[in-house]
Amino acid sequence: MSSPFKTPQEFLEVKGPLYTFANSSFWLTLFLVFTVLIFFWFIYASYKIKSKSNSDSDPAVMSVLILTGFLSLAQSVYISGTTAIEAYLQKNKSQVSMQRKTRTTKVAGKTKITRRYGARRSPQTRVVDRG
Amino acid sequence: MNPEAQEFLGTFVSESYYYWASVFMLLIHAGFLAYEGGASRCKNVLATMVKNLLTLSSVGLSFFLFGWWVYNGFPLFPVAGGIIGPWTNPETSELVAELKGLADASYPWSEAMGPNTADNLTGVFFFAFALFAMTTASILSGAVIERIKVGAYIILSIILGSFTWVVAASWGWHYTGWFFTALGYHDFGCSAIVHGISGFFALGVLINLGPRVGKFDERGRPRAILPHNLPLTMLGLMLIFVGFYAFLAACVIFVPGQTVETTIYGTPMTLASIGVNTTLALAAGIVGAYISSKSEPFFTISGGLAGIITVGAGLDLYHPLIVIPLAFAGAFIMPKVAAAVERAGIDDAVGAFAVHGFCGMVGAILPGFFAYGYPQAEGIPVINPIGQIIPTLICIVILGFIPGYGVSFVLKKLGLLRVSRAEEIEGLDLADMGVEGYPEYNTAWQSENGIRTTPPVGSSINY
Repeated sequence: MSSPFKTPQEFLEVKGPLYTFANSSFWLTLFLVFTVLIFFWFIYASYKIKSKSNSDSDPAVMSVLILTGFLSLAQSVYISGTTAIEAYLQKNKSQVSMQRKTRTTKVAGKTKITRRYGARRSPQTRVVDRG
Repeated sequence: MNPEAQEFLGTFVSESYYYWASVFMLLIHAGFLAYEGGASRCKNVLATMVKNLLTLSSVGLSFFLFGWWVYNGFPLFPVAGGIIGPWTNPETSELVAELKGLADASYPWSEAMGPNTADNLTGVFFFAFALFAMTTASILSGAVIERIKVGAYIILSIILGSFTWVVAASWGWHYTGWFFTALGYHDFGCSAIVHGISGFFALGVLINLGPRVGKFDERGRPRAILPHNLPLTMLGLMLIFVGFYAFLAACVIFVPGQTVETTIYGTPMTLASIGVNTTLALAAGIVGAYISSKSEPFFTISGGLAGIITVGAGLDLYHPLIVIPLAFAGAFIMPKVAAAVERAGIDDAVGAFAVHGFCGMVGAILPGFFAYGYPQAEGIPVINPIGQIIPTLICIVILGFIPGYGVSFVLKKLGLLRVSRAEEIEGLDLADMGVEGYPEYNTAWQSENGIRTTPPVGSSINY
């Protein structure tokens, strides 16, 4: 029983403490321990809780980001180079039938690069990330 | 000071106390206005705020017309007697005569409701209760933002704010209510009476209302629809906190002739303990939600409210050392409940069910264990688990979920519940009001850079 009172009269005419467990120091001590633990947990958590946006400071995450960025850059350079070469070839080989369609597939690492040539269309490049 | 002046001073203190407590309770509505406005997207901010504002009118007027009478007319019904009204014979018993006097004073045409030097208190109690009613309805308002028709919200707010919660208050927050007299129910801060009912009512409405366009992807996985102004939302919650101190202060009963402050049940208490316990519940609740949600701002600040609601029912009796762990636990669990609701496919825009429904339900049951055995009056059962659980279930199911689900189901069938898909995508500010909340800014950025407001091309999903 958390009530320190046994009869309504005792409670309704109380002059003094009327709170729960007023007659049981054991329970209040136990709740004090819980309260202190919560308080220290709060302080500890305020140091440990990180929002997701801070995860980029993780060396492993940074490494992946740098590597991905480098691969993306290398891929862009490669695509722009091959596109220029193909455009040059197309311009200088007018005897080639404009109706012919050619599909060339190259695989570099985990990246598959596909080119399509259309009769009246400029070269299109599609990059499929297979990673 | 002559005796007559001294007597009037007591009346004036009581009148002033409830008057100013109610004025400060209005901050809850200022807070809800900011909270919901911030939680909505740019294209819905004005419509969301106006909808919330209309709560003051829909509930204010309906509470005057019939809600105030419901509070005084239903305490005995259906267990201890009938509904008290003009048809009631006051000679039935002393209790019925007393209640008939209160009911007679609560009709819109009553002398007590107008300027009357013979009655300074009926009007000020109406004022306080009307603010309670508006608070209850406002809880629903946040959950349904960005897609409910204004008319549907007004109807639902009237049913919730001026009827169902008032019936619960007359049963469980009235000194003659049968929850109290037959079962010993104790709910000082209206954990179930206000929060539990409104949270479960909102849940029932949300099931029929459905999620906002784009809230769930093709596989039914929830997407985050972020508040357009989280700082405004946080400021709104701070205002709600201030208003809640006033709300809880208005739960204290002090009328001329009393020699001690009491609860609505007539049991002794002190206003000071409400100040201490509310402050600690707020603090511990914020900590619980902060840790549980990993510092997510929206849930962290909502944790303060969750903490207060979790201990609300026994706030007059709990020692502060009990308040802290209980408020912490309630607020710690709250974000998990919100996540579970979302996983179930329910789009509760502000977590109203988790904060108010869940914490209100738990908060109302807790006195059965942590204040077990308190005697309340001669012939009234002591506070006990069964006496807390049964009324709490009646509140949340019969007076909360079922009316919310039922009325919204009827409105849905009549095509009166939800705005059209085109209106929702355009935004309610333009569709309903013809103006934008932020006319200097291009709110189309949301569809381009943020939340997708239209289905992807080729998508077969029916949002």
